[in-house]
Amino acid sequence: MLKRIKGLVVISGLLLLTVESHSQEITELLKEYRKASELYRQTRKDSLGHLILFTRDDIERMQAHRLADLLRSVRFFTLGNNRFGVLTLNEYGGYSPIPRHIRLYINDHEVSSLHTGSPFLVWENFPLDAVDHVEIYLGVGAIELGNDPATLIIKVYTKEPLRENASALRLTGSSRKGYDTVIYSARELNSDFSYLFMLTESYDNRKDYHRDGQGLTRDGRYRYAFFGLYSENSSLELGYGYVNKSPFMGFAMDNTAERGYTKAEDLYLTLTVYPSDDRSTKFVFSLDNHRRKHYESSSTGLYIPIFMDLLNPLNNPRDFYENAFFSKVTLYLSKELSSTTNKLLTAVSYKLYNSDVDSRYYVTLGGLRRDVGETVPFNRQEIYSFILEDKFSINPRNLIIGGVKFDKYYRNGGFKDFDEIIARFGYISLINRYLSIKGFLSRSYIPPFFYDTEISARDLDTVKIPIAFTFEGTLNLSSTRVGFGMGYMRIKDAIVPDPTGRLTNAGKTEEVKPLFVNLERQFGENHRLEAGYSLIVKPERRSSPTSGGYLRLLSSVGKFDAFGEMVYRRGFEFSGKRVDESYDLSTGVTYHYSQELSVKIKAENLLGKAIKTPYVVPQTGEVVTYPIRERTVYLSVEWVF
Amino acid sequence: MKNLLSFLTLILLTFVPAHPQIDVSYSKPEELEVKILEKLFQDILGKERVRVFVIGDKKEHYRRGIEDYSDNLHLVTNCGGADIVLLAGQISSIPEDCLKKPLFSTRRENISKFRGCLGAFYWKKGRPNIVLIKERLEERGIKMPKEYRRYIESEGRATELRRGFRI
Repeated sequence: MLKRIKGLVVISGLLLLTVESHSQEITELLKEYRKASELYRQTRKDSLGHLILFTRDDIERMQAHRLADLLRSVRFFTLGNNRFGVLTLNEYGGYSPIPRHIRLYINDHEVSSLHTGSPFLVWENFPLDAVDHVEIYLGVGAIELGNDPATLIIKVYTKEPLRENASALRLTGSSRKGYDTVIYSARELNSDFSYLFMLTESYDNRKDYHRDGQGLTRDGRYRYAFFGLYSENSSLELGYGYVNKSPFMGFAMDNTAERGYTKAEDLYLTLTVYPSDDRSTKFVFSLDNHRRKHYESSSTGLYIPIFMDLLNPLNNPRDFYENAFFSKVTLYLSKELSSTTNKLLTAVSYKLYNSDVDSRYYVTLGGLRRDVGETVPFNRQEIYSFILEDKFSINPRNLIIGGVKFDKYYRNGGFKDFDEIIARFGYISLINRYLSIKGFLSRSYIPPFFYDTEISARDLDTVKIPIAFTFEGTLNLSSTRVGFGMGYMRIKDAIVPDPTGRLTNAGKTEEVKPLFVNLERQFGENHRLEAGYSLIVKPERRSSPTSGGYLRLLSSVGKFDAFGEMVYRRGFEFSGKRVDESYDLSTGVTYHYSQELSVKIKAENLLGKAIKTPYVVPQTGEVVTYPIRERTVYLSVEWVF
Repeated sequence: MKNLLSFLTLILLTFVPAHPQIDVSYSKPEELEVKILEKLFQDILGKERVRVFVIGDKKEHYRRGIEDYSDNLHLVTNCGGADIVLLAGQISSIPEDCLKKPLFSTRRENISKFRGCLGAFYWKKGRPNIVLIKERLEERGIKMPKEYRRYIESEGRATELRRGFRI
């Protein structure tokens, strides 16, 4: 079986960091073994798109305790916060308060919100202690995963219990009086089973601001739990995430929600079974629940577009409350047929989404309570998908990928049913020992989520990406690697706010032409310098930075690990207000007192010049800006036992 | 902005390497795992060809590996004919005649469980590790080459580590 797919494996193998020496020294052999055994070599899929990889070493040296810590430097995106203080990634030039085009996976399970499509409300602070590595795929139309379409896929892979045989405790305190407590254990249970268990509690205390004598806060309490039980041919995973945070600006007319909260909970279970020993057949069953309670109040009123009364302002909302519940059932069955040169994947999947609004009301400025319930009759959606993808290796150095995914949507409440096709053609080639190239030609779409239709009280069409072409080249020269790439993407019917703030499909087509260059140089074994610059050529939108870069140094000396990262984003103009260019500098040192105990110190936004997100004050039209995080220092102790 | 670009250009220029050579070879972890065991056993026993008896719940994995990737390790079916016994994975008891032979494990826990266990090649915290117990090597008159110095620990320290209270 292994032999038959050798051609395909060789291609992906050669694309990885190559094993350089065959010295017989035991230390060298051990290092080589470790390199060759890295988990990402098993999980990464070049066919999914253009990969940004954070290995376990990177995560540890960068002290990336939160998922968001890794996203700061992602090319073509700028980290931001929306009006509710929730993380978002704005594509260069764009302004996406809720990034519905980003999918987050924990292992093979998608955890993006069933309500909005964005994963960040619940999962932005997901601790990476029990995580082995993170793969970020840029690219339109990844087919193989069989889940909702995306343009950015973040895959978080947990540690492999058989290789851990350890438990660990981390305590972190921040200079802003926030804290993290994380405990996990990953071990072999008996000869057939192993487990991973993690429990966390944290309080993310961020700087409070004041506007017109009122406090503006976005502090949040986060809890996560994860349990995975693994055997050779099956796995069962349970995940739980909870957030309780202050509403930040919320919908407030004066940009200050005086009272309120957002409480959200995610709970999922996923069962994966490989019925045959060659693992060519895969069956997945999963259940997802998402609960969300939101309350806010502002004496100046709330600007919620669908509830606004232009004729009588007293009918406009002052308090808003909602308690909604969402669920998803997924069934997925795939079969992989392999021959010497071909790997054909066929899969079918069924997904059932439900939305149930337990209570949704607002109290007007005039003091009247209005129950609104579901603002649209659409609360149930079924998606049937059929996937076909073929990877054909012309020879061990050239691989062609072709795939299609048919999605059929059935929606209730009189909302129209529709079907969509994702198609993709890719080519990966190792031109010579130095140069490899990768290109994709795709078409795809992004569906509207429950939130989009609720908030706009109308049916919305899918966002279409009729054509996307992306290309990437990698030049491997001794200890230096140079990456470069470009793309062209056309976006039609983007979901954007209309002049009243309700979402609608934009009539026009937008073109995006991304361009990037990356450099990576290894100095000896222990030091690595990375730099990158990315931009959009002739951007059509300029509501956020249109170019940016980063510089990162990762170092190990004796018992010390250190890192420094500078992320640059270009300045821009937002509704007439100039937002300056930004330099976000983070740095940290880890001291390994022993194999079991380490002490870490990290500082972020050291220069106080991190990127600021602009917000319009609905009452005045004025624009205000705030960074995601002000200068903060973190002190951590980690004990492995 | 201009400064930043010139800075990046500077980095780009300094990235031109002196020796643009790369050895594109991709080793399999399973193969390297066996190579490491092979080298360890050869150095422990001071001989080129080693007869190995494998027991434990992971024995199939290691037997397969040795068969596929090693020319110098030879599998035997009982302890009598073995130079060394590999404790592969979890193991509750060992046949009496095996206890006289040098033992080596793929789990650290087996070091404290079996007095005759000279060391282990195991995974911990996502990293492969090797440990050899000084006193037990000395008991058998084994002198390891210098390259193993960093992997040799005294018995007391090894059991302390197992309990995990060494702060």
